[in-house]
Amino acid sequence: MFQTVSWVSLGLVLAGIVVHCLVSPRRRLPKGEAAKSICDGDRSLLAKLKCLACPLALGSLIVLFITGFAGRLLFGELMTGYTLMLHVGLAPVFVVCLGFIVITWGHQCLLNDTDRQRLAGLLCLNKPDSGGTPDLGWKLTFWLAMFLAVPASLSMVLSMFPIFGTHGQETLLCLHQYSSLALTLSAMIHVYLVIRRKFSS
Amino acid sequence: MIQVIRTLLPLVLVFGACALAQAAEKGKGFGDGHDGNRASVTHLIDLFDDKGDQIKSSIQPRPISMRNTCGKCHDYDTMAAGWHFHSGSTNVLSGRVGEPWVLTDNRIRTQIPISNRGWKGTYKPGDVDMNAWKFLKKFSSHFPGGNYGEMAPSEDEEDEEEEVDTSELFRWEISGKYEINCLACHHADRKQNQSDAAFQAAKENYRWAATVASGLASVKGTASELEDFYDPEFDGHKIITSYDKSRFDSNDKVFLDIVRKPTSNSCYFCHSTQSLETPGEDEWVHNEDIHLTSGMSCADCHRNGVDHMISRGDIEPSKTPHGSADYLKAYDPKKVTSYSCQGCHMGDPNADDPAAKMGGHLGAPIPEHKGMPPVHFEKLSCTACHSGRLPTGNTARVRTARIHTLGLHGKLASMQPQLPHVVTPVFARMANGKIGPHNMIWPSFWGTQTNGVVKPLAPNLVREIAPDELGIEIEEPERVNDWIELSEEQIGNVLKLIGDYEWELEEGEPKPLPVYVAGGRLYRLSNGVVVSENHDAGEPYKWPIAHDVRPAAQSLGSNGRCADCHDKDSPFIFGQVEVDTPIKPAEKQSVAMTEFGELDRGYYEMFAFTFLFRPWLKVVVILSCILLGMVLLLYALKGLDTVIKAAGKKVSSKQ
Repeated sequence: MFQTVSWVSLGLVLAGIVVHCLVSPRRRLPKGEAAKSICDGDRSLLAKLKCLACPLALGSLIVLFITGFAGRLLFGELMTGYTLMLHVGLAPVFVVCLGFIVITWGHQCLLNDTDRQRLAGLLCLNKPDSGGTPDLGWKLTFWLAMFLAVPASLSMVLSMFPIFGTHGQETLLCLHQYSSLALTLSAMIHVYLVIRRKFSS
Repeated sequence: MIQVIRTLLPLVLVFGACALAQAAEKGKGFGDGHDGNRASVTHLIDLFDDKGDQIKSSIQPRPISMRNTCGKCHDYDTMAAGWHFHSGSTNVLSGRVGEPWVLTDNRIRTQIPISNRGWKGTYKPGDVDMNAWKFLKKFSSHFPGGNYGEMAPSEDEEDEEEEVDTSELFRWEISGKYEINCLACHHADRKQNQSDAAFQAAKENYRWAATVASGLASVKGTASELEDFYDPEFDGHKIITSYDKSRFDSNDKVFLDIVRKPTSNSCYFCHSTQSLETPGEDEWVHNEDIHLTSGMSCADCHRNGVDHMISRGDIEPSKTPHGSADYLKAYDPKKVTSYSCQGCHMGDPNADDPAAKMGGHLGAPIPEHKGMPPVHFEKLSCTACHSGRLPTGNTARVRTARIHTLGLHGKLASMQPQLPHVVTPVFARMANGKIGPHNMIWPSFWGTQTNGVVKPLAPNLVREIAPDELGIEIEEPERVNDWIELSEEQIGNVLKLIGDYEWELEEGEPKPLPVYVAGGRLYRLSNGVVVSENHDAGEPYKWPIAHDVRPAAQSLGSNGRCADCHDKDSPFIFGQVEVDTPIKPAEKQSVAMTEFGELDRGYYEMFAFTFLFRPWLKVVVILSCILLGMVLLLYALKGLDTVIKAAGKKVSSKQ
């Protein structure tokens, strides 16, 4: 079941990205909205850490994805051995990076008035705004990824405590798998939109 | 019409009479059914001897024949196909690897696992020149009867087979067959004493063993002391059976307290295991299996039908047991899986009976396994964590009833063999791929190697070839670690003597090379010098154990104690398994436990190392999650604030 859901959702998201890339024209952003490089000009320690956190989080997510999904999707096997050790070893790095990112980047990802109006339009709470905003997508996927990181991490840490029995452990594993899948998908879309925005500037 | 009836009636009557006569003649199995009444059947019965004559207290009696007594109502031949009784037959089932018989001869430093079931690492009785008679002579102390006990050569074989030892034929006649001893298991009378059966068997009084053990009679006389040509018709009865006359009623019927479900006491005689950590005076400190302590009996789980194919508790729901077709032939897995650990405690998802699907069979607690990742259940058997002795850094030793002839009283009680050393618990890979606890012995024997195949030599032949070199005549040889030490020089000398032996070889057959196997190694002569190498023939023989089951609180990993197995010093993974050998027996020799579990030691060392950081991992991840959660909550509240403000503005603008 999980294998099927994973293959289908990954396929849909990748196909969606490709189609979106081909069909949707890239609009040049106004000069003031041009995306800045993460650590442009700022030489402070915080800025350097901010510089480091994003690629580190992305890198660890890729490794976590490969170690967690490759065996399962290709061979239908659960992680064991050195793969499991690498996965578990990198997980805290990823979670710490996310904690750092949400603090340092959270403010920049807040929805502004335009985003809110567009969101309300998408949710049919308001008249649709034909103008649209290029920021809504990456901001929403950012918050979604941050939100999903919590169940993905907690589900595994909680299973290390003698709280849940066999059934609970299986449920936690299930929760970990599906929340990780959703986290990966939202991270993929987020990265795509951020890159697209960067090249639009 | 009447004429037709008149014609047919005699035919019908004749046909019916024939059918009844045939059934009566056969006389089998009408006591094997179950009409549903749970009350036990009172066995006030006639006793019959092996000639089929009823035993009466008033005349010179013969011992009871189980075939003729129990067989009056029960299908003896069907029962004889059960696990306990068919190992010597040609269509023997191998089944799961189990405890072998061990042919031990300390003087020639030999211990050979024997089984006719073809288990890897065992040798068939025939391989060590052991026929049914010799098998009985060696292993009859803990023998359930039947099987080899009834395999006396027939008259046809006497004519055809030149190799049949005529002396043995005479002995069979004197000793009689060792029929299945039904009473050993089903006689609940506390007078039932299997030690007496062992005593009679030691005297070769096989025909009398069951009778004496039942407490119904005493026997005077020893078959092994009678001459080959002894005939009671001419020489008079020299083995006298004296029944307890008070047990016979006025019709010469005898009450036997027969139970359908054997008591655990009956099973214990052959299936006891003694921990040698606290033997002798401290025997009282030992606990029983938690199931028995809870009031259950062995037969609650190890059940069987008339065929006596006792369920062995190792069939997992929905799986072909060990990939073996043998078991499927013998069992309907749907019937027996409910009596396995998993079936009883957790339920069998494939069972037809909805109750069996739920688990909790016989009040079995459904385990929660808190904090235990499910991957453990794919890699480990239930017994790995719950059964046998709690592992320590080094394996311990046990003695078993059958291998070490435990439970004998009276004259036989002086035998207290320590060899072979059975080491336990060895966490090894089982046939189903899971790791479980095993008992293990290291074979050691003199043998020959032909075309790479190693076969042991019969101990008697070795005694004949090298009596002086092995010091057979020495009365009290010095023992080290229970062994009579064997030097490499002695090995070389004995190998030379075996090499010089005049073998009866067929034309073109190569001369066998003499070898000695001990402690996992094979010793042979190379240019007159003893050399040794690791060899398959030296591999230890191990068999999975399931008992005693410890209480849940004393199981490995109970209450989420990962360190029980994943600590860097955990005996479960990093324990040492004793190597038992007569060569330098004073030296401590061992093999890493990981070799038996086929585990990557380096990986598990690294994995254990990561457990040092696990508390940190938990703290870091939990703190990060709290931080993430708080930031998310903060922004969510901010968003809510914006929504409320926007809604407020909208309302006020409308007003």
